[in-house]
Amino acid sequence: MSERRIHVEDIARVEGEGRLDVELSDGEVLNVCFEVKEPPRFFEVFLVGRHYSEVPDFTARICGICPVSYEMASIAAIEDAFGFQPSEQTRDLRRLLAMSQWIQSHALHIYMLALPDYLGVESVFALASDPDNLPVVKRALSLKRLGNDITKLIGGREIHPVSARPGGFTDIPSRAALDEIARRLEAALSDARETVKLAASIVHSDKVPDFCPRCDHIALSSATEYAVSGANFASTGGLSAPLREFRSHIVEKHVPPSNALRSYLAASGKSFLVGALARVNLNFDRLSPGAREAAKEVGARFPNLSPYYGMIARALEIYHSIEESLAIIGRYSGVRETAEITPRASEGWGASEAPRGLLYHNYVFDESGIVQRANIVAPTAMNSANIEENLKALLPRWVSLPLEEITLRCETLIRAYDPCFSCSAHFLKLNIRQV
Amino acid sequence: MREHARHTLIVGIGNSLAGDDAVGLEAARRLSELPLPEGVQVVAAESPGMNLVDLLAGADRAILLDSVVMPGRPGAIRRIALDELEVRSGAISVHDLTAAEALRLAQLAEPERVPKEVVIVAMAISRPASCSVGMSKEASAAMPKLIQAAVEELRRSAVAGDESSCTKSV
Repeated sequence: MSERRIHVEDIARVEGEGRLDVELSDGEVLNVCFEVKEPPRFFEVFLVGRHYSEVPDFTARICGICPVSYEMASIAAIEDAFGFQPSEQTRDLRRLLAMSQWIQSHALHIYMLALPDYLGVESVFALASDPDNLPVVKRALSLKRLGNDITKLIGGREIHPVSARPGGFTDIPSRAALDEIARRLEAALSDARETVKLAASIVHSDKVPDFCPRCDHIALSSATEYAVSGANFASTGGLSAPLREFRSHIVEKHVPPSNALRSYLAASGKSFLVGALARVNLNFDRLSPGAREAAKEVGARFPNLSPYYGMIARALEIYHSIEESLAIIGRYSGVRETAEITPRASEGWGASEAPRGLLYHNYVFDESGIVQRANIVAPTAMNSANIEENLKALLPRWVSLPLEEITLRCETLIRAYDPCFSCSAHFLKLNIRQV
Repeated sequence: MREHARHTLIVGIGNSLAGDDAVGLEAARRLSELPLPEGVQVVAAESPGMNLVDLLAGADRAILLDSVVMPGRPGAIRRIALDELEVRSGAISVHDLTAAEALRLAQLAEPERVPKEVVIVAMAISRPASCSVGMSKEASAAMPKLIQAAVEELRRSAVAGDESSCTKSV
């Protein structure tokens, strides 16, 4: 009987770290264990006792890649608790801010983290050194820079922006500054179109397994817009509920040996998927006209439950973000507003669709607005059970391949989720050991 | 012949939460308190990752102050040209991109954004301590040498003339 083990020490091109152990014997998969090692960071503990005004700044520090999402989700929960309705201009600026993150994060993931897998190179450096691929790298850097500059303009700073507050913004961009951004957004549409074509050419090729797992995809959903924030979430399995019922539908379990909690649907006990793919699957008809047209041109059809299809979903969201940002800038009036927000003893729920998926915040406040209880669930924490499940589903197809090839395919699947283990503060160490 | 001061940017790079990895930041802070020649600007950049390239945009020359892990020689000062830096292959992520990797990528993909001259002046440290604020005794003792090396680097390539503006009468 021949046994083989895969244990990869340090998976590349993901955010943060995690570990995968695979045991194979005589062409069978004996065990798959996706262990997400989470050094406890205790945010939910130390937020207790803080004033609500500090919460967005604290939670932004959970992630240096998507701090905007944490700020938006915590602000939404605070405003929900205190019964505050933001102005239209504030909503618009928040959407601009959130979509700027999608642009930069998705561009970075597609080109620098995922693309090397499908072109058979180790990293973006190899792509940049190849004259045929250099234009592709330039495109990625240009899109990323555009997203970052929008974040900086509206948020006041690229990493851990400062201007977004419960109630509104402490400073707003000028008309002239936004007009310059609009000019760059217009110019970026062709880059976005090329990104959709590139993603589709890869995902529809034989480099990607033909794979149709049965699982639910979950995202925020709205009747009137492509949801970035909102009070309702839905699943491809037919679930539709307000955020305040989130914990009745989604439960967390501790699954040893991982330190991280795993998320499952309460009704079925099954794992689920969040992220750009879930959003596009649920809200396709609310994407911008150009994004829907781009999907049609490349023959991309939704819903599609294969996690590999996430690359096309991210590319479509870049396109959508550019188009919708142009529309928002077109109607922006730049009127200085003041807002009164008054704390009260209350509980609030808020969420934001981070680049990697639904981010959930829930707080209980006392009459002075001091946090009594906090609960935060990050998107990658919600995806980790689904990652392991799909590894288990795919591994039987790969068992007779050389160990190196199996390892690469496992890593490619993990990367297809665009995981951010740092948010759930995870460690991915994947070692190959042949026994 | 018209003379003009080149724009030199000194960037102190580091992580103030990682023990001796803060030396670049501290060096930038101390340099900014000294009288500096015209055209020289000092900034401190906390783990800038890919944003380092944007920070350097517009500069003719950049001097990066940083730590370098070299076991056994804490406090030694090294001058490293950009092309000498080794770049890891494969294991990159946005959280983890080093100054070398960010600049190497820019050199390949956007060379027009990289200053013509980039030099790193680094202090050797044993290793960065995680979740630790404050420098070791060796690093603190070597700070004046790092500052001195930065000042010497500034003097190394002095004010340059713009020969293209020279007109010759025939």
